[in-house]
Amino acid sequence: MPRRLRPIRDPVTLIVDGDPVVAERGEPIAVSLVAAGRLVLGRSVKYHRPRGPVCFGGRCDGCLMRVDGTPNVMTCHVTAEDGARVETQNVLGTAEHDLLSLTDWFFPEGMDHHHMFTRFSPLNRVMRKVARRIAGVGTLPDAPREAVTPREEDVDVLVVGGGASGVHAANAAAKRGAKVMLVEERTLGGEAALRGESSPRLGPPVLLRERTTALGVWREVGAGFRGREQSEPVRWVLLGDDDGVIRLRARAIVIATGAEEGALAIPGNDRPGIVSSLGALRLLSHGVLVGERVAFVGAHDTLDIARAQLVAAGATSVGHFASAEVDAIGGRPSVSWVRARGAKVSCDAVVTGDAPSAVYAIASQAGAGVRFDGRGFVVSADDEGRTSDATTFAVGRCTGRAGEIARAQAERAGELAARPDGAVASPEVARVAHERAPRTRDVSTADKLLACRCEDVTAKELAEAVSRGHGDLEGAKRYTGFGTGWCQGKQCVALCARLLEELGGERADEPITPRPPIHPIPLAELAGLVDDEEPR
Amino acid sequence: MSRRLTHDARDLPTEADVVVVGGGIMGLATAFHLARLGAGRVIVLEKSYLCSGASGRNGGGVRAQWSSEINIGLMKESLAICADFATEMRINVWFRRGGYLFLARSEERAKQLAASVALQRDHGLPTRLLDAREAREVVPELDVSDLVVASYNPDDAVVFPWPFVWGYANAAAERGVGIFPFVEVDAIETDGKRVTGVVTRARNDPKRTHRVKTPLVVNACGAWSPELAAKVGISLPNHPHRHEICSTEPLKPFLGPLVAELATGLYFSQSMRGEIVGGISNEKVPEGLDQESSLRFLGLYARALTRTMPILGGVRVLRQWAGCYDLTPDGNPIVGRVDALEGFVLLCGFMGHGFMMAPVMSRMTAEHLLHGAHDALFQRWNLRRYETGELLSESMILG
Ligand SMILES: Cc1cc2nc3c(=O)[nH]c(=O)nc-3n(C[C@H](O)[C@H](O)[C@H](O)COP(=O)(O)OP(=O)(O)OC[C@H]3O[C@@H](n4cnc5c(N)ncnc54)[C@H](O)[C@@H]3O)c2cc1C
Ligand code: FES
Repeated sequence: MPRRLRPIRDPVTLIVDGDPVVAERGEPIAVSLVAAGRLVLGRSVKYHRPRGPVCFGGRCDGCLMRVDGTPNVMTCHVTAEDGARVETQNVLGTAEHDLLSLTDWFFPEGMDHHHMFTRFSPLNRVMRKVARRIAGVGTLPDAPREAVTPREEDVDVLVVGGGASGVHAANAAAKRGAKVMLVEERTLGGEAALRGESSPRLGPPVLLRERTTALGVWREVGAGFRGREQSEPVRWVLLGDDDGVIRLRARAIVIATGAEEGALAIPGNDRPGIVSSLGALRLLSHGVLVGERVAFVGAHDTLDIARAQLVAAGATSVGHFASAEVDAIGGRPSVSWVRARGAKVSCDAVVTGDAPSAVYAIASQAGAGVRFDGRGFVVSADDEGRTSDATTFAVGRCTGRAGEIARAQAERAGELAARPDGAVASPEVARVAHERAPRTRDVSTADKLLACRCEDVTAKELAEAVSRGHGDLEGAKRYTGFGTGWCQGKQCVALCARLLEELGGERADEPITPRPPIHPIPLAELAGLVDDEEPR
Repeated sequence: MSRRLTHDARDLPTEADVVVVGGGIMGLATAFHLARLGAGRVIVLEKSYLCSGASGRNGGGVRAQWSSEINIGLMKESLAICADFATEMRINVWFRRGGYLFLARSEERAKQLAASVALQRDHGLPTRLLDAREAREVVPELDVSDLVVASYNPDDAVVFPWPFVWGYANAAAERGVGIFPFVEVDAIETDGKRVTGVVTRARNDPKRTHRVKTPLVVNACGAWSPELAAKVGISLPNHPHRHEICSTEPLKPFLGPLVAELATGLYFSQSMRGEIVGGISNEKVPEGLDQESSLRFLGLYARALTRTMPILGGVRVLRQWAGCYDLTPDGNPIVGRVDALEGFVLLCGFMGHGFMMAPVMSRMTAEHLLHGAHDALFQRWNLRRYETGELLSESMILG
């Protein structure tokens, strides 16, 4: 069980499904709940499998709850305040004991929703009624929301991501006299601090926006924002923060979004209590230990750091396994064992770190090429950060570079981005070599291997798609629905590309087209974007 | 049921009785009916993956509420086909009869709706005109403050488009149709008077071309149909128009009908997955075959949607995408044989409602080509009308 390592400093009381839960004011609600022993925060869409937070960082679907009358709130993103009303969604019963999880039991290997109940009309009709009743997560908000007026800004260079590479690029561009803005989803240097590293300082001329997310990039011709006629294509970036959205024009964009560890390709990989290594570190930074007996699975430098820090904080490591050594993870509802190297090892948490993959959506929308390397995605860029788009640069881990090479790349990209002519020759970026030969995966497993958690797509369902001729990434996406859920593929596209190849499907070249917005945006925040007259 | 829907380009034949160009709903459904009626060797050539065109990008709305007799009649039949599609074709298309609710916020639009409703009732539809209170009974979350009148046909429906396309593809494949994705038609060969074959290029071998001899080519290329026709020097009056659409987070079911408004072109419905899926008219889009998303669309849609249903203000957009409508100057399709070139058949110009037209138009096209049936319709909608100037009309087009 997770536990707090220090007493709560400024206690407040949350009302969780009607029960009081004591929390520390200002910490993320997801952290409060996990610290209080609530690992299961909701249930999945199709099979009603238990769901719990993985990343504590806004990239997974594991912490969605109804908060103060708003459905599907990422509770890792909202802070605990006294009296906040938090409710579990999508259950018949409680999060721990959900009657609808019968579907999980009834379809042990996943379901063929395209063909089930298609023999007999009356049965099909009943099935459709039932399916509609149980679809969806969350219910309508309690109250309407007023339209928010978007803000507007104009800069020379926008840097997305406040890790070391982003800071180096921003500083270099600012030194050349450009007007530079750096946006960071969380806090500057936060990630480095979690890893116990120091991070470079941001120079004062750079406009810094923390807790601000780049929501998408659009190129528009004809008429754009507010109906203005545009003869030249204009590239808009939409930023989102706590007050709504900012519409931004940037001459050049530098992407420094980093890489995130991927999900494990192991049956039972979606059990609550399995957290990413960054997730475990984020939890620890709030004074919460993810578990007493922790299994570490994968190979990633952040995982090593997490392991050292968790052990130092009092956790026991029950083993560190390569993901190929683990053939199942189990526990009901949350994780209680892993089966590794032929033996069942009991544990109360699993910390993972495998196959890093670039955070690529914003790069791809901005016009940079993204390639699959057999394990994850990489933004194609050269040592100067140039991509296949003349005004888009990509630097650091999202391009597969780290250390001194990344620093030189970031600084050079910052300089190039600052050039007022903007016209930088863009190299034809070479294809990345595939790293791993495919192996044939056995998908007849005891528990489900979730290829896509948000939409409950199993590896077995991917195999079915392949056998019916939907073995390319776009085709398989449409056939199975992977990548179309809450996280829009942030957690699953790399894993699905890998699994497809192992299952005999086509080798992916690129990711599925990342559709904007990159994070969900409330309609009220978009409603103020146009002001031309509405026809009646 | 056959396991694989499609064939590899390496297996392309050198001869076929019919070559259908375009693997969207029109092409695949027509190939199915042609094969069913014994047309011989039928192949479908698609330059990308199945569902890559408008057929994989649409809202899945199927309705009989139209303003012309022909459309009302055709879509009534389409609805009936859709209702039984899952068990006939053995694939779930998640047909849901929630009705269509059209809103009018001006006297002029109200008159237009009333006239259509009268016509629809004459043709046996249960469409009713609703006042504000009645409209709220159907959709309690509606803001009806400036609603003049609404029209409601409880029998209209929505389906999920992708499996609908696969259903036809599968049924066609079972009847021997060869479906070739990632094969593009580069050229059409003629002897000056009639079609003699097509020249293709496959994605996995782009340097080589392949020739298929055939006397009959069906242009089911949707928004790309003018491009294909231009290859044989035929200039079509239809043109592509980008239409955008988006989807919100999935919520538990609360919305019965698809709600639409002719003035703004706003429409939205709740899919079987619980998402609110919808779009809106946007006149100011780039010309040509453009499938990019825009921020302007999100603004137009969000504004109209939150005005119509304010409770959705806090609901989030998850993703947006775009496809192309295939617009004709008079809002009616362009189908049938072409006078200038024997063996060249058009099956295009389906505006923003070709999905619901496909189940019935595909059958009629096959019957027309093989048995000369439905001559009146194919005369009326022939390309010829643009020369003779006998243009038609349809006022209930969305988007
Ligand atoms: C966003 C959106 C929403 C819509 N909503 C609805 C709705 O609610 N209800 C409704 O009924 N309709 C709707 N429509 C319209 C409907 O989707 C289309 O009318 C219908 O899908 C057209 O089908 P099609 O087979 O003719 O064309 P498509 O599906 O576009 O298929 C044409 C195919 O031809 C291929 N092709 C083109 N050129 C070549 C070539 N040279 N060689 C080989 N292949 C080629 C293309 O790749 C394409 O796949 C909507 C459309 C859009 C874009
Ligand atoms: S895991 Fe989120 S969409 Fe697949």
